[in-house]
Amino acid sequence: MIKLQVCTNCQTVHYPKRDICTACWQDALAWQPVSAQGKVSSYTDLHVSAKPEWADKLPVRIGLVKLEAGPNVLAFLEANIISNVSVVLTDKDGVFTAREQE
Amino acid sequence: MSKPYTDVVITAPVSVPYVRFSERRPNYWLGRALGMLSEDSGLGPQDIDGLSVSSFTLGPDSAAALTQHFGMSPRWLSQEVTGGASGITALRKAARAVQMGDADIVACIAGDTNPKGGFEGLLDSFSSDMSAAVLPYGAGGPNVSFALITRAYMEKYGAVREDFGRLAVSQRNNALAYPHALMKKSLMLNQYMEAKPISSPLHLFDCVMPCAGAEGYLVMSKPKATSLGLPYAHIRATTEWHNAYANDDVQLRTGLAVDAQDLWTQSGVRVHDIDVVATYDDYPVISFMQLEDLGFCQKGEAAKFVYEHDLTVSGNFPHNTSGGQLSCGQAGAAGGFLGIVEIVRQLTGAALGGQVKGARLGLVSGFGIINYDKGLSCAAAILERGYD
Ligand SMILES: [Zn+2]
Repeated sequence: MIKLQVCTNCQTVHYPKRDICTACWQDALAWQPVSAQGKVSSYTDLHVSAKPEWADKLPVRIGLVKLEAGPNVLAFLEANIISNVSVVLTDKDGVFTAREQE
Repeated sequence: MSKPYTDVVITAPVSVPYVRFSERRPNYWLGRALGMLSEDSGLGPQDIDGLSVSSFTLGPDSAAALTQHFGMSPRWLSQEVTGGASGITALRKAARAVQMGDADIVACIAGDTNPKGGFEGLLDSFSSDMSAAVLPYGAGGPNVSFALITRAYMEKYGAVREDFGRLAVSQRNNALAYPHALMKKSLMLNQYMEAKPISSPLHLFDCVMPCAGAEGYLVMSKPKATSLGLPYAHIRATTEWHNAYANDDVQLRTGLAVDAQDLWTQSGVRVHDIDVVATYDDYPVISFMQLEDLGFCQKGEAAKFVYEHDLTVSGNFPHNTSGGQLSCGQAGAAGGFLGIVEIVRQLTGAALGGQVKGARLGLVSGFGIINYDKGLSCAAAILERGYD
């Protein structure tokens, strides 16, 4: 499970951080555990960063993941993961990493 | 459907020549656009009673603060926040203001500066979603978001890198005749293919070069433009959308697809009547989507369309005839004005580079504000060469 904002009024799950619910406009957003499972919609190997601290860590593979819980998130992908692969995310301080589902 | 734009025209397209880096404030670049508008029109600070400003780097200064910087006392003011769509969203507002009498003459300007290292700072302040959901992943910024969109488009519709390369190469051909383009060397398809990777599948020539510069134009009544002796273009139809198709998993279409049919109906012309086109080309895939969503070809068939047409100034589908941002550079928000300024020049026979012979009808579209997974704003306008 990962923790995302869930509307306690209509159950819509949000990412990135929102201040009101995008579906019902109530401010009843609570951080709750949701499914960490999703599917890769697209991916990229990043070779050039705007920040020097990334220079010696590149390239890195990044994916767009459609979560079963609803939202799209970006995540680091483990090597060789491509589009349409089912993945499970881990969250470290709000940064997601995706590995292939067992 | 929107009401027609009666008796209101767009005129005096100006471009403040781009430079790769500038330590000046954006206030300078925007101010130079006003200076050039004044030189072209003979109008000064006392004559212009409407101001529309589009810029990413203004920092603490809003458009209201700029009125004092520029010695103006306008009775109508707008700050455009739509980035790559701002050239058209500014026109929409300014044209209605003039049409309804809230302003007589509106100066629409867009510009940004680009100090060394400034692009990194701009990324950090671009949007809260970009900071929270994109930059933690290697700080690639918009390149990452557009790489994901480009890959998804290629996998869905079978486009390959060569298809995007053809667009970039034809625009470079156009740019070679345009004096303000920062890219001065020709580009061959093999050079495009062999360029260094930035964020796969994007390589160097898929990405625009950030720079400093400004663009602008005036909006006024047709009688006013005539009395000033300014060549102008009419506004046949426009549209804009924000956060359209919000539930699409990946952005494979823009909001232009929502009501392109209404745009054409309102314009009274058809796709094949258009003589010159400018799409927003921050990355080639975005131009592909605009061509499809506006109905120049079927969804997913832009690669075929680009292959089957000659997109150079003298070709059968003149497109981004000044070279677009891919060859001119992207002067921040001025990138959202580059297309409309070029289309007005083409329609008034005043191209600075290659002129499309006899161009009467032009279409310009814009796309802006990549937030994290999607670009949120889009707009389009169909313009027509001035007539009495
Ligand atoms: Zn709700």
